[in-house]
Amino acid sequence: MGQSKKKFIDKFITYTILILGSVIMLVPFVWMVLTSFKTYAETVKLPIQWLPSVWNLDNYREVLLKLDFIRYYRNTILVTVLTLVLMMFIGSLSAFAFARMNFPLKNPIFYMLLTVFMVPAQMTMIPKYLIISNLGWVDSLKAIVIPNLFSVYTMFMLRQFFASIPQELEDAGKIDGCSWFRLYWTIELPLCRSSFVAMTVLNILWCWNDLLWPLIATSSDKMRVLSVAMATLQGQHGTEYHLLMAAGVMAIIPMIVIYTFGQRYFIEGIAFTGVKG
Amino acid sequence: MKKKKFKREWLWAYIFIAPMVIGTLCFGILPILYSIGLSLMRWDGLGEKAFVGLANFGELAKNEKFVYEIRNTLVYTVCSVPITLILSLGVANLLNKGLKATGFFRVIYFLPNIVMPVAAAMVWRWLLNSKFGVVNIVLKALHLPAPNWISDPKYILTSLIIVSVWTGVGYNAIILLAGLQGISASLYESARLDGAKSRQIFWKITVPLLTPTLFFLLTMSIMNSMRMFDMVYTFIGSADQGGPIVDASRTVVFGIYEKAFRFMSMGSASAEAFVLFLMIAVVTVIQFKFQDKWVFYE
Repeated sequence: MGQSKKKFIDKFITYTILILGSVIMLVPFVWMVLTSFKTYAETVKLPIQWLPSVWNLDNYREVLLKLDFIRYYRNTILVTVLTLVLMMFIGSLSAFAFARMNFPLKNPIFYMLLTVFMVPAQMTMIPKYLIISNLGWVDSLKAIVIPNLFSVYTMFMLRQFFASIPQELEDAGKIDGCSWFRLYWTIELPLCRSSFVAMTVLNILWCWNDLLWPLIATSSDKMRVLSVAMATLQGQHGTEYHLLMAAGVMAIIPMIVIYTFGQRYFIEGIAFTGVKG
Repeated sequence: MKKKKFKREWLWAYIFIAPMVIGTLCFGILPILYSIGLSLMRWDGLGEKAFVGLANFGELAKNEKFVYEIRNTLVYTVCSVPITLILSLGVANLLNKGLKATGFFRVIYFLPNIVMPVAAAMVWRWLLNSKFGVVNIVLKALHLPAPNWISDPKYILTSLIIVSVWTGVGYNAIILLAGLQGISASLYESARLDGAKSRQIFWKITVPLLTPTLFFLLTMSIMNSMRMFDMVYTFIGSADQGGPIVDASRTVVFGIYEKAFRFMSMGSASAEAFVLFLMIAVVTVIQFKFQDKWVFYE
C-alpha cells in the first residue's frame, strides 16, 4: 500500500513539473498567436486584455500585402528548396565517394575538407562577401544559395551511413554491371534513406532560419528572405507588436508543419548527430 | 584490364567529389586564408589595402566596445550553457521515467528549437516588455520586482540568457534522453538489489554514463553561444542609435558584423574574427585536454 502511494506521489510530482515546464515552453507561442489577432490599441491596453475582441485577419493581410511578405515567402522558399536539393546531392555524392570508392589522395583530401569544421563560419563571412561581390552576385538569391551549398558536416555525417552498408550489396551491383553513379543512386542512397531525410530536415531548419548570411549577401528590399525581413520590420515597426507577431507566426508556421509531419526524423536526426557526432 | 578498371574508379570518384572540393576551396578554405590575411591590413573595402602587421589587434585591445563584446559573450556563455544543461538534465530525467505522455512532452519541449531565432527574440521582446509584457504583469501580480528587461542595460543580458535557455532546453533534453535510454536497465537493477538509493544511483551510475553526451553538448553549446548573433541583432541591433543598451548586449559576432558591414573596416573586423576563432579553439582544446578527468567512456 505504502509502496503504491509513494509511486503515485512520484508520478504526480513528475507530471506537475513537466506540465509546468510545457506551459513555459508554450506561452510564447500562444501569446504570439493571440497578439497577432489583436488591434494595436488592444496590445497596449492596461490592465492587460488577454484575448482579442474580434478574431480577424487584418494584421495578416497587412503584413502579407502591404509589407510585402508574399515576396519574402517566395524568396525564402526558393532559397531553401534550391539550397537543399543541391546541398544534399553534392554532400551525399561526395560522401558516397569517400565511403565506398578508392582513389589516390583520398585521405588527404578528406582531412583538408574537414579543416573547415574547425573554423566558425562567422570567421569567413567577410571574405565570402568579398568573393560574391567580385563575382557581381551581391543582392541576388544566388548569393545566398551558392556559398551555402558545400556542407562538409552533411558529407561527414552521410559518409558514416554509407560506410555502414554491407559490402555484399555493392559487389552484387558491380557484378550486374552497375555504373558507379547507379550504385550510388539506386542501391546505396535508398538504403540510408532515413538518415538522409533526417539530415535534410535539419538542414531545412537551418536554411530557413538563418539570418546572418542573407543579411550580408542581400541589400535591397526585393531580395530579402523572411529572417531578414523580420529583423528589418522589428527595426521599423518596433512597437507595433500586433504586426510583428503576425509576421512571426507566418515565418514559423512552415517549420511547425514540417516538424509535425517529420517529427520522427527531427528527433532521430538530432539524437543521432548528438550521440554519434 | 584490372588497371583500367581502377583508373575508371578514380575518375568517377574525382567527378563525384569535385563539386564539394571546389566549393569548399572557394567558400571555405580560401576565405579562411583570406580572412587571416585581411586581419593584418587596413582596408575600407574599396580603396587600397595597406599592410599594418598586428596593429589591428593592438587597436582592438584598446577599443572599449571590443572589451564589452568579449565580456558580454563570455558572461552570456558562462550563464546560459550551465543553466540550459542542468535544466535539460532534469527534464530528460523526468522524461525517462516511462510516463505514457513522454512522446507528447518531448514534442512540446523541442518546439522552441525549430523557431526562427529572429522570431523567438521578437516574441520574447514582447513578453518581456516592461509595461505591457506578460512576464512583468505576472511578476507585478506576485508583488515581485518587475525590471525593464529590454531597456535597462543591467538586465538586457539576462533577457538574452532567458531566451537562449528557453530555446535550448528541449534540444539538449532530447539528446540527453537518448543517452539515458542507452544505459542498460540491468545496471540499475543490480544497484537497486545492492540497496542503493535513487540519489546514489543518479550520481554513481546515471551521471557517469551520461558524461560522453554531456561532454558533446557542452562542447557544442559553448561553441554556439560564443557565436551568438541573431538574438542580439533582433533585440537591439536594428536600433542604430548605439548607446549603453547596445554596449551592454553586443557580442563578438555582432562586433564583426558592425565593423565590416556598417563601418567598412574590413581589417579590424577580420582581426576580431580571428580572435573569435582563437577563443573557440582555446576553449575546445581545453575541453578535450580535460575530458579524461571527468568523461567516462565504457
